[in-house]
Amino acid sequence: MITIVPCTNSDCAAVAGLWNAKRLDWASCWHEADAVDEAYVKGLLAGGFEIAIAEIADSPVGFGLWGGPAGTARLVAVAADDDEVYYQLLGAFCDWGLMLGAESGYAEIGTAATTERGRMDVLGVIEYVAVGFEPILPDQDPAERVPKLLRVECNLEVLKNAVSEILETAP
Amino acid sequence: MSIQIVLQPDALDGIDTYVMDGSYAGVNFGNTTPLGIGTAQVGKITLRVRALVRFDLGAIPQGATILDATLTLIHAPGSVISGSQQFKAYRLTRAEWTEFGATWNQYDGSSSWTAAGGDYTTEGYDSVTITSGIQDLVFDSLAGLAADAIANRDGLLHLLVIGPELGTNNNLLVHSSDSAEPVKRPKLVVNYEVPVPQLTVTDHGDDTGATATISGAAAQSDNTVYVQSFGGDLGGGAWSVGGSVEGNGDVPLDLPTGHYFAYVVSSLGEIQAVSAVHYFVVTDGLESIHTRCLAAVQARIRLLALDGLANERVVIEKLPAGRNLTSGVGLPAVILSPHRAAMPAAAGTNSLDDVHYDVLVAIFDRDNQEPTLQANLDRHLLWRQQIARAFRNQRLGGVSEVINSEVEPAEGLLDEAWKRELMTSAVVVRFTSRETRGFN
Repeated sequence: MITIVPCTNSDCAAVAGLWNAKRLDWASCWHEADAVDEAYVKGLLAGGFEIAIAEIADSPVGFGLWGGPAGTARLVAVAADDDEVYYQLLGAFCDWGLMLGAESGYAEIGTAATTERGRMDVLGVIEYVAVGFEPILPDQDPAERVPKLLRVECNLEVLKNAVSEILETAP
Repeated sequence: MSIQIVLQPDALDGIDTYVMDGSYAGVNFGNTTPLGIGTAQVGKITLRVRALVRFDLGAIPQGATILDATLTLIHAPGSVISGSQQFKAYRLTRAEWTEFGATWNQYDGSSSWTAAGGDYTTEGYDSVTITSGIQDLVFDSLAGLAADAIANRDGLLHLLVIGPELGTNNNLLVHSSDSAEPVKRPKLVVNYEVPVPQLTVTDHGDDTGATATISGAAAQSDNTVYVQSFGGDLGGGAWSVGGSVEGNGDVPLDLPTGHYFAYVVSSLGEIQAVSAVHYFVVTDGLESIHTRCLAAVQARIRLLALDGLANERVVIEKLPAGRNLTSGVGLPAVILSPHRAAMPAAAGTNSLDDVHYDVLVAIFDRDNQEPTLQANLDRHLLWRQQIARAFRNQRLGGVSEVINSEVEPAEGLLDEAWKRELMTSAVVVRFTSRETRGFN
């Protein structure tokens, strides 16, 4: 049974532990991300970010980090080894955004074929727009730039429904 | 007159991007919107974000005076600002940066900044403080950097906008030139003017003309002096080109003796500024000061364009009341005469004397049997008032020696006029000339 609970200051050390563990996952977009500590996570909370922790039998197994001013929902990161945990956290992000009155949510992800990119693709409802590129020389054609960073955007209701469908069909 | 230029380029002409450090230090964000500034929780860590913007001020001519320059960056949805945060606009010192090559590490896709994040100078920077993510950035003190761009950077203003780079939640997003909403793209408004030139003219005093001296003009401007021989009133004659000079300097004016008007037109590109009209006299050095005073008074009164008095009826006579009194010039008339033959020094300094030169200014009109005279009473009083005001307590244009003048009522003409059945009203203008003692 997966439960999603809000992160408090007392949970920050656990979140930092999950964070640093995930950066060792070579298939994840977290691979080689900078290591953080408890104080850094506390700083995120103090800075207005929301952190949700996924727990199984009271043990943290993943977390989601999001934020944004009123009317917008920005998914910063979701860390989870398990697909179902990932989608549960994605659903929690949708609920949070809709509760704030946001219509759509967005995030930035790399172009690499990571586990997280695959999970988003499976949903089939997310739009990708390239926003970051390999720099080019002055005499090169901008039309031939190679994307390195994507902005993903989706209507939150649509995303929530897609997440629900995935979770319903999960084994 | 100031001129305003508004630059708000679109995606095709606009040059802007932003750079991020950390794991995105090698990523270029050219041709995207919005631009980020400050900090951003992107990827899995807090990154610094800086915006780069370029404007082409080439339409503003070299030498123009920049009155003000204001950059406005319109906030975009998704901005987050915590508390009161300061943003600064610096001049990028690496002009070779490119929109599609700039990253945190490099400025053109291959070469590294000297300092990662963009090379800039704090000289002439502007700052603005905002307290929420729904505020725009308005840098309204960029005149110095705009002037520097025009004078030294081929008209290109390169700016690096840096926000708060501490904390995790100060990510201001602003529309770029790629925004789908044209009015929200980065906008630079510059007000400028062409310096108005100052003109002075120095009479050679030897029948060789005069020298026009232009000052206050832009160094690169073309300055043309226009001259008009005094024809009774300003604009009454034809203007001709007296000469021209680039920037400030002297223009010789080959003119015969006489009274003139002149002005200078300063052209900078397609923009012009015009000096005030300058009145001057060219002499041969042989005329007495008193004669020059008479001529200057005549020119000044003609310039007043007194209502109902034709300019040709402002005449100089040896005596105010000759045989036919007004020399047949017609009535009404203003007769100007030297008033005193003797000119004792009234005051002076150790080596200079203040000498008086009096000029009688007499208004003559038809006699008091003329039925229209009563109706003309106020007109005569007004002429007298205008004449007195034109000379009272000031120097005399065209006679540089005169340092002051006084206006006094004149006496003694009334009887002469009465005998000739004329009305007269007269004042004496007393000019004070400061002259070197003991020389010609």
